[in-house]
Formats: sequence, C-alpha cells, structure tokens
Amino acid sequence: MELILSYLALLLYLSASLGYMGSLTARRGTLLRAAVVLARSGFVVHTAALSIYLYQQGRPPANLAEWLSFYAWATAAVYLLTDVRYESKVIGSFVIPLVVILLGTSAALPKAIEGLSPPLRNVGVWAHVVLTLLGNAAFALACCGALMYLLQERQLKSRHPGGLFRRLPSLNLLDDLCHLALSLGFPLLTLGLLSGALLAYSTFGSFLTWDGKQIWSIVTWIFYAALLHGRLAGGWRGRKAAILSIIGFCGVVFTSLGANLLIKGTHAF
Amino acid sequence: MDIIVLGLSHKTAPLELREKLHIPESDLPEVLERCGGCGEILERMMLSTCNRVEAYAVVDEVEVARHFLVEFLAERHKLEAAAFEPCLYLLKAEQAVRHIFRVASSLDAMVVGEPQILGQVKSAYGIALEHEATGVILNNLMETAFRVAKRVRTETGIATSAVSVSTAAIELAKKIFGDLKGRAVMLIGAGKMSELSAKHLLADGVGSVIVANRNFDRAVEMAERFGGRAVRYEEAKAEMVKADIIISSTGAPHQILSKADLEEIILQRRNRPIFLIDIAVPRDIDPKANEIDNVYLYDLDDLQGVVQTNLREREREAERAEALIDREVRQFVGWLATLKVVPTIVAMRKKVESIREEELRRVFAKLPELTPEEQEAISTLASSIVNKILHDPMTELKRQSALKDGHLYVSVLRRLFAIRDE
Repeated sequence: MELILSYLALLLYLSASLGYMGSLTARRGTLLRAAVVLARSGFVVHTAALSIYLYQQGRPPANLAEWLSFYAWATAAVYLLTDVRYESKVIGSFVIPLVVILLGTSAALPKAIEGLSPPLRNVGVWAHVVLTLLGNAAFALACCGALMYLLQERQLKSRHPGGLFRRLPSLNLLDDLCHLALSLGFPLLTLGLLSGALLAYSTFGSFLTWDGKQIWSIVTWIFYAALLHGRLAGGWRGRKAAILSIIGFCGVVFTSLGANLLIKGTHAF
Repeated sequence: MDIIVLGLSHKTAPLELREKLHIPESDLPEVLERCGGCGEILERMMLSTCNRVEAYAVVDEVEVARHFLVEFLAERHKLEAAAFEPCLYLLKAEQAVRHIFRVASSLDAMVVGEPQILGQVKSAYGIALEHEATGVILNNLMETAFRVAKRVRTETGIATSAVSVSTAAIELAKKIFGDLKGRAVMLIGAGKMSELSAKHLLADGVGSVIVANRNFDRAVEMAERFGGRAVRYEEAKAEMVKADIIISSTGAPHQILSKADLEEIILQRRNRPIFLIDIAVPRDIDPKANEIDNVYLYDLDDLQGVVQTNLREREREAERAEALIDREVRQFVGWLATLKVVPTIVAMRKKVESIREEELRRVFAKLPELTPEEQEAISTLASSIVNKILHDPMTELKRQSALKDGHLYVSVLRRLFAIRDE
C-alpha cells in the first residue's frame, strides 16, 4: 500500500513537473494551475504514504532510500508552505523537479536495511532526523530560488530579456525567497546538529565520533553560518549570495550522499 | 437572413472623417430606434469609438439594409454619401462574425491588444440590449464575442508586454524590485521624457520622487508637480544612494556618472539593487556600469530593443489569437447554420430520401420476380408516403421560421430527426 502510494506520489510530482516546465516555455495559465494542483495532490499522497510507513515501522528512516523519500517530502512541504507567501507559482518549476529527482532516486535504490541498532528508536533520533531533514529541505529551496535568481539576473543584465524573463518572478522576490529559506534552514540545521551531538554523547559517550557525515555537516554548517552572517551584516545579496547558496546546497548533497562513502562511521547512511 | 457589419475604421478612413461620423453614446437609443424603421433590419447595434463607426445587424436583404444605413448616416451627419462611401466596408456572415470577434478581442485595434475596446463594445451592446434592438442571433453573437475576447486575453499574451519605452522601463523595474510601492525614483535632468516616465512610475505606486537639474528652479517646479523633492545638481550624487530608480536625461555633452561613481553608490547602498535608465543622447552614464553587481543599466537603445522584442512577441501571440478566433468563428457559423430553414429542409429531405431508397433496394433484392412496372409502382407509393408525411411539418416550419423564435422549431426538428450540423 505504502509503496503504491509512493509511486503514485512520484507520478503526480512528475506530471506536475511537466506542467511546470510547459508553463515556463509556453504561456499557458491553465498548465501552471494544473501543475500546482498536481503538485499539491502529490504532496497529499506522499504524506499518506509516509504516514503509513511511520505507523507500520515506528522508526525514522534507516537507509538512504527511505531518507531520500523523506527528504523529497520535506522539500515539497517547505516549498508548499513558503509558496503561500508568494503570488508567483513559477517557483515550483524548479522545486518540484528536484522533488521528482529525490523521490525517483529513492525508488531506484535498494530497500534493504542493515541491522538496525537499538538506540535508533529513541526521541533523540527522531529530533535529530526531523530537524536536519527540514533544515536541508529549506536549503534545497534556497538553492532553487538562487538558480532562478541567477537566470533572471542574466536576463536583466543582458539588456535583451527574452521569454523566460517574463515568466520568472522579480529579483526582489527571489532574493527574499533565498533569504527566507536560509533563515529557516539554518536554525533547523543548528538544532539538528546539536541534537545529533547530544545523541552521540548519550550513545557513544562523546559529542563527536568523527565520521564523514559529521565532519561534512559541520563544514556545511560553518559555510551557511558565514553566508547568513554575510547577508545580515555585510549586505551580501543578489548574485554572489545566490552562487553561495548553490555551493552550500552542493555541500548538503555531498554530506548526504557522498560523505559516508569516503569515511564510514556511525551514520548508517 | 444574414449577419452584417457595415462601417469604417482607422484602417479605411482618416480621423477627420471618423470624427464627422461619430455618434455620441447619448444619441445611440435614437439611432437604434430609427434603424429599426427599416423592415429589413431585424436586429441591430451601433458601435462608435474614436477609431471606428460600425453597425452590426441581422438583416433579411443585405443590399436594401446597406442602402438604408448609408442614407441614414449621410442624412444624420449632413454629408454626401459619396464622401464616406469609399471608406465603408460591408462584411457578411462568416466574415462579419470574424470581424466582430477581432474587434472585441482588440486584434483590429490601432495598438493591438489595447484593452479599452472591449468595454466600449460591451457598453454599445448594453444600450442596444436595453432598447430591445437585438434578438436571439445578435445576443448570442455578442455574448460569444465577449467570451472569445476573454479567452484571447487570458490564453494569449497579446496584451501583457510593454510596447512603449516608458512602459518597458516599468516592466523591467517590476522584474527587479517586484512591487514598486515605496520605491524612490530620482530624475536627473527635467526633460519631457523623464517627466513621462516619472508619471508612469508614479501611477504604478512609486513612493517618492527626487528631481535634480542644472537649472534649480525647473527642478523645483517639476518636483512640485510630482509632490517630490528638488535637489541641487551638485548634490545629486549624494542623493543617489537613496534612489532605487534613476532616470537620467541631461543634455550634458559628456558622461556624468562613471563606473567608479556607481561602485561607490552601490557600496553605500549595501548592495541594494539600483535601476538606471539613461535616456540621454549622448549618454549620461558609463555603459560599463552595467557590469557592477546589482546595478542594472538600460539606455534608450536597450529599451527600444525591449519594445521591439515585445512587439514581435505580440505579433506571434496575435497569430495564436487569430487561430483561436478561427475556431470560434467556425463554431458560431455552425450554430448559425442550424438556424437556417432551407438547409434544414434540404437535409431533412436528403435523410428521408436515403431511407426510402435504402428500403426500396432491400425490398427489390428480396423480391427479384417483380416486373419493372411493379417496381415502379412500389417506388411511387414510397415517394408519395414520404412526401405526404413531410408536407405538413415542412410548411409549418417555413411559416414559423419567419416569426420570432422560429429558430426553436428548426433546432427541435434537427434534434428529433438527428440532423447533424454540417
């Protein structure tokens, strides 16, 4: 049941993506509206799938496939939440395809779980997983906003703005979106890392076990701290801030997917 | 019975002639009343704007109606018919329907996509409706035209892009700042162009205006007109830090703002974006300033380039609109055809005849021993049954169709006998 719903959600997100893409290239208001409806229904179905999963398993995601599915959900959730704030629905054209990639990868990965250690069932783990998930999802949104910002900025700088220019939102809105997503993501990631450290202390007796994921998380955290500080205090905005948001997200992706492959550690994935 | 459009527009007649033939809205009821005096004109409405004077009507005899309308216009405006007749166009049936759809959708306008025309057509129709000058056909035609116009507006982009330099500047400003509310605009040089742009910006909600000019008195005068603030030319650079949009149009023979100036300004603005519009010739601002992050510099040529692109885009969108209108015209003409009695009778006869022939063929095939004489007799029998059955309904249909709501009989008959629209 849960699997069927997951596939259904993937299908809905996928058709929403196609609708979004279509509305970017052709001026079709109806296409965009349809995409928004599809994306929202995809989210509802996805939520149902994960609820069933949580009810049946009673534990947080325990392998990369599961984690990616939750990550896709969190990204969609953060996007749909912030979307209420903006009239322009075009942002979905960049976020929902990312959700498709995440969920699609999740579906393609092996589902097997290597022996789950008992500590992975307490409240600390839940807090750690949920907070980092939401934080990373906000960073994904910031990255999408930054990509759109760079595209729109190039249109404006070229002095010959084309079709995309008219459909993308204003620079001000996109910068605002990046800022919002960063100021949402950073505290979440901070709390996520802190809860992780406490968890490590209670489980292994030390705050830091020096596994790949921990090290890279800290690197990412420092990077985002610098970026947010620069934005708030140094007046960093626009193109440079956008590029940094994208680099930061690359860090997130590496931390999530790559770091473990290099240095094995306490994180199962 | 035909739908016709008789009139002239900016495409066929000069302004002075259009002025002479203009009918003010307050006179429309009387005009509609008098046109009703012609027995050939069954339904009518009159549209008179600064770009066109047109009569939309449903008539029995096109030539008679045309003659009546021309005479009427000539008499009413005290003109010789010959003075405006060469500029008149007369469109019938499908062409008339297409014309009305195009007018309502602003495809026939002087500036394609300008939105006022739809309101004008609506109010002209409203007056005709109020004075019972329209009937089933014109009502349906106009309701369809309004629906088509709405579709054209929402489904194509003919009216979305800016096609003048000042509106293009606003379009760009909106893509940089989003909402223009509360933004500050600064005018350097108090020329006509900058004044026009400032007017547009204020209409779009720009919060405050700062005017700097070599001649301080003129700056003060212009600032007063916009409820803004005048600054001395020498202080302009210091004030620029506060401005989000700068429109420069001085007559200075050399550049007044260098790249270095702007680098400093953007630093003081803590990277808040700034939109520079340089409409001076020769240019006031170093074009290299566009390389600075968060500075967006457009000169007159750039803006005109944007306008050109938009115009081309509008043309493309207009083509899409035409295709959409084509489909709607076909549909409407299809509906119109169903209202016509003669084609219905022909179709009805054809259908019954084909049934007769088919049945005869089957009987003759079953009974090969029939002599040609017997075959002939049976065939005649079938014909006469068919004709006698059809006779009364057909006569009644013809009689009813001449009356009001006659088309109802036609459509019921078509439905009952499953006659499809061709």
